[in-house]
Amino acid sequence: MSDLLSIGVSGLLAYRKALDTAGHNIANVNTPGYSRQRVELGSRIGGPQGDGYIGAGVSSNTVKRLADALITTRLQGDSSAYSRAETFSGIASRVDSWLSDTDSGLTRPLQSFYDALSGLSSNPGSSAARQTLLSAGQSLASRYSDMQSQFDGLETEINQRLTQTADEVTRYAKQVADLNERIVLAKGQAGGQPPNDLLDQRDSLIKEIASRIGITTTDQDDGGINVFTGSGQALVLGRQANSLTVGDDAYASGRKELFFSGGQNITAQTSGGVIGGLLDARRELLDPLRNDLGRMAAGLAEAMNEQHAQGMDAKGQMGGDFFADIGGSVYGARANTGNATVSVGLSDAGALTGDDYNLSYNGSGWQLTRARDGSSVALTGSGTAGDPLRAEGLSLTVGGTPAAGDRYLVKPTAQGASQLRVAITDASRIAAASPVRASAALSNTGSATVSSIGVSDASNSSLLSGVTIQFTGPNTYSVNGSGSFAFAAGDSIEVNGWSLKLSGSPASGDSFSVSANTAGSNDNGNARALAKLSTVGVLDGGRSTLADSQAALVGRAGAQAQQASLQVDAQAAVKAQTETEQASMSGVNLDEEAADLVRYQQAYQAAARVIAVANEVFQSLLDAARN
Amino acid sequence: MRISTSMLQQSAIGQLQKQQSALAKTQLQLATGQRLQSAADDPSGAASAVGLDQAAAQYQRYQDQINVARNRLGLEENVLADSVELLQRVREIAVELNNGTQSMQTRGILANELKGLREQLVSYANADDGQGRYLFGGSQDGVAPFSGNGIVSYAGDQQQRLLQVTGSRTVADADPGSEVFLRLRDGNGTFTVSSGANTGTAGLKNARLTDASLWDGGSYTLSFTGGNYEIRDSGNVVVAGGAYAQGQAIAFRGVDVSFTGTPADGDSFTVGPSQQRDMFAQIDELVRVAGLPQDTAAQRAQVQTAMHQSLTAIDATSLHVSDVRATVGNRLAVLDDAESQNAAQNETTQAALSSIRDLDYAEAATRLSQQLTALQAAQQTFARVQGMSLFDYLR
Repeated sequence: MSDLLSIGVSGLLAYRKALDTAGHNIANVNTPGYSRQRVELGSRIGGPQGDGYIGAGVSSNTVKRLADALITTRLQGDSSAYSRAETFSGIASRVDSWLSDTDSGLTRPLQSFYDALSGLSSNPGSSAARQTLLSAGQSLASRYSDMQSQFDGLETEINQRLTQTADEVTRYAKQVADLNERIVLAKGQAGGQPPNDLLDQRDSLIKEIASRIGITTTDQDDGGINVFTGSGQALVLGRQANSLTVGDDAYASGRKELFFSGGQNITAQTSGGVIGGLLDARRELLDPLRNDLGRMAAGLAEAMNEQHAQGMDAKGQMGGDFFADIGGSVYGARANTGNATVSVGLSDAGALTGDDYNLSYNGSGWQLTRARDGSSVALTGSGTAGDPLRAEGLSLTVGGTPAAGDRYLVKPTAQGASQLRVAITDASRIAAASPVRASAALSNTGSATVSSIGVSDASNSSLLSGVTIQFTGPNTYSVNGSGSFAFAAGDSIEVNGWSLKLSGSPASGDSFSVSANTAGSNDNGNARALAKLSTVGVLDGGRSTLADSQAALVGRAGAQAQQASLQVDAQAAVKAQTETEQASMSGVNLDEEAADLVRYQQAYQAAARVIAVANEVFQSLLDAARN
Repeated sequence: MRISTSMLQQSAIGQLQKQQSALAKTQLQLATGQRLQSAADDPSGAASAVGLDQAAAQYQRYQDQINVARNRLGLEENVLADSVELLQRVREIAVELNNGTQSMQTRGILANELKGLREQLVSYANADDGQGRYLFGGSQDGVAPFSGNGIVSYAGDQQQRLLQVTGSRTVADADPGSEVFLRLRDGNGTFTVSSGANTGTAGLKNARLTDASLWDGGSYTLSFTGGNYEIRDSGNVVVAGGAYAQGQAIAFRGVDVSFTGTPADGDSFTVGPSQQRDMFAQIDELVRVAGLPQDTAAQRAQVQTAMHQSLTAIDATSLHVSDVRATVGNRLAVLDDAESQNAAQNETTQAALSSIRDLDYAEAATRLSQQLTALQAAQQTFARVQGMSLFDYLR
């Protein structure tokens, strides 16, 4: 009858374990990453007897952790994708709100600037109108540089977050390696039984890594787990961990890149997680938008300066630069062996693309490739100051001697917006007037009058010289008394860089004189041309006005923010679905545990009763023997 | 499906948060009246809105230019209207002067009035726009364009300021003084007739151009001998001749001239090309003619010729000023047209902007109440579901 006693005891022990496990589950109902556990019961087979096998009670084989490795792996991938989307979307929506906010965006100052130009054209002599234009120009320029500092600040922030996140990944990798060691040890000590709670901890840590950078994992036979980055570098190999670090790029351009164990640059191969989101945002949002902003600033400065140089200011001087010139930046690779320095100028804003470029020297010639996709860009010129290398609105000048294999990073417009600055401080230096004016002699007998006079070449050195056009017949004229030129109605008379148009027909003996405008003229010829810039295409080969480019910039940032936000929603849904599956498999349900408690308690009580019965049975036997 | 307790809570809270964030967005839309809070809400709409905003601002700029041009052209029109009236009075005086009953003294009074009118005309020509800018100075409008008591000098130039009033149209906001007051000619604008030191009583009755293509701009001398006339060109070649009859037209080179009175032998008239003579000089000429002696019939005949030419010139000048005034009127009409064009385009732009940016309140209010109901339902469900636990029944 001792069998019954040991059967009862086996029940007591098993259900005690089961009750403990249910209690453990209840206690961890809100522990993140906890997987519910279950005692696996099995019947004990008794020894063979003549009439068959009588069971020997129950035993708990193992405490099983209810987790699905496939779901866990999927969840790691989903976390990576979600974190990437969330990080990207956070940055995109911030950029979007800078650009589309009416108070911080470019719309208002640009409008005020055009308003001031228009005001100048209706009242070119007014010093108030001139001063207004200067202030409007300054506010516009400072809004551009505010915008630039927002972008520059974002770059700094991305650099800091990259550094911080890489440090976190390194730390978690170390912890995973430590856990690997403990798990292998614990498994050995427990005769191969899994240390469930350590496994949960390790899965949580790996999920933390996955939410920071895209990874793959492989299980080892001894219970350890290896973690690899997307580029195949082993972050964790058994009990050994490697580090992720952040350092300067090859050109020391201020850009931070990602290195594996302080050596290999893995920036290009990295995707997913917070780090992937930061790198994507830098490549897809920050760079193109900031370059575009600089391109707009360059377009504004170039168009304004070009037209301004064709006018005459209130002091009788030809107009100088209204905005200071905008130039690009070139960074030489640290590994360069030659001593060449390269500088980049913007020669044609209409041809600028907003891309960055890589310039390299192969020993005999220069090659330019687009940094974005590595496509080759045709170069002309030799690189000397007189004949610079030219491509897509850039002019590159090389000084010193390059060595074969030298590389340069060309960023034409990344800092353009910060360079926009009004070059004029004296309002009277605003060139509102046309530099030349024409008059018809009062004694003319023909019906010809001056229809218009414009400047076709402001650089002509004789532009401001006085010229008399004398008609020697209705269809011929002389210039300053010499020569005989044919004239037909509608012809432009072009001399010294100006172009005169007449309406009506001149008579023989009629004369027209063209002379320099004077200081203090209230002519608005050039102011009107400047005001027209609001509707003239200056970018993309003359197809886009500044307002168009600005609308495109806002639209582009908005579309990216919208897309990013949709992607976050989609990734969140995918992740939630996987989390639901995981919770369905591994999560603790209190009602279920309550039922289990009742079930195991009853079984425990019954087992105790078995012991009592065994006792009674044994007692009966003793009683029988005593009698 | 198996449900875990913490998942149940988390998903319920997630749903509540989702509803609350949708509610917050609707609330913000209702508070600002704007459908778009940032470009991400509708990227293509936001990009169009930026473009439309710029277009609307451009129409406002055109409107500002129209207002400036309208103001200045209105002022110019007033001055031109006054000038036409003044010239009318000058003409009346000229007609009075031509009346044979005037004495030297009454002519003196009229001449004084003419001098006053001339001063008046100079002040008209120096009119400003009330902001220190002279209307008739061309681009040199910072200083008074006309000055001098004898020969009026012009300090302006012939430049016109063109204001952009629509994308494609410009309107000049004034006319240079040279074109209004100076580019004028004596006689009838083509030729003049002047009398020599004649002793006869022949005075100019009529002079007109009948065929402009025959007029060569030369200088011709018409002389009388024995009741016949003879016309010689500057090379002393006779180009026409015939018997003189009072009032009968003498025609040559596309010109018709006729005379009253009887010329003496050797009397002559010169027919030559018109020369430039500004408006002020034309009045000066009238003053000069008013001061000529009219004691003899011969003197009166000479005055008659000179007065005829002056009157002709004044008439042409009045016509010229009226013409300028008509062009100003045309420009004002262009401004009106430009204004209504801009207004129509602006209206379309604003409507488009509104449809992109402005909130449909009815829709948003409906959405708000739907979202409130849904949130309330979610909260109540949460409270009910969370209140259920098997442990409550295990006692």
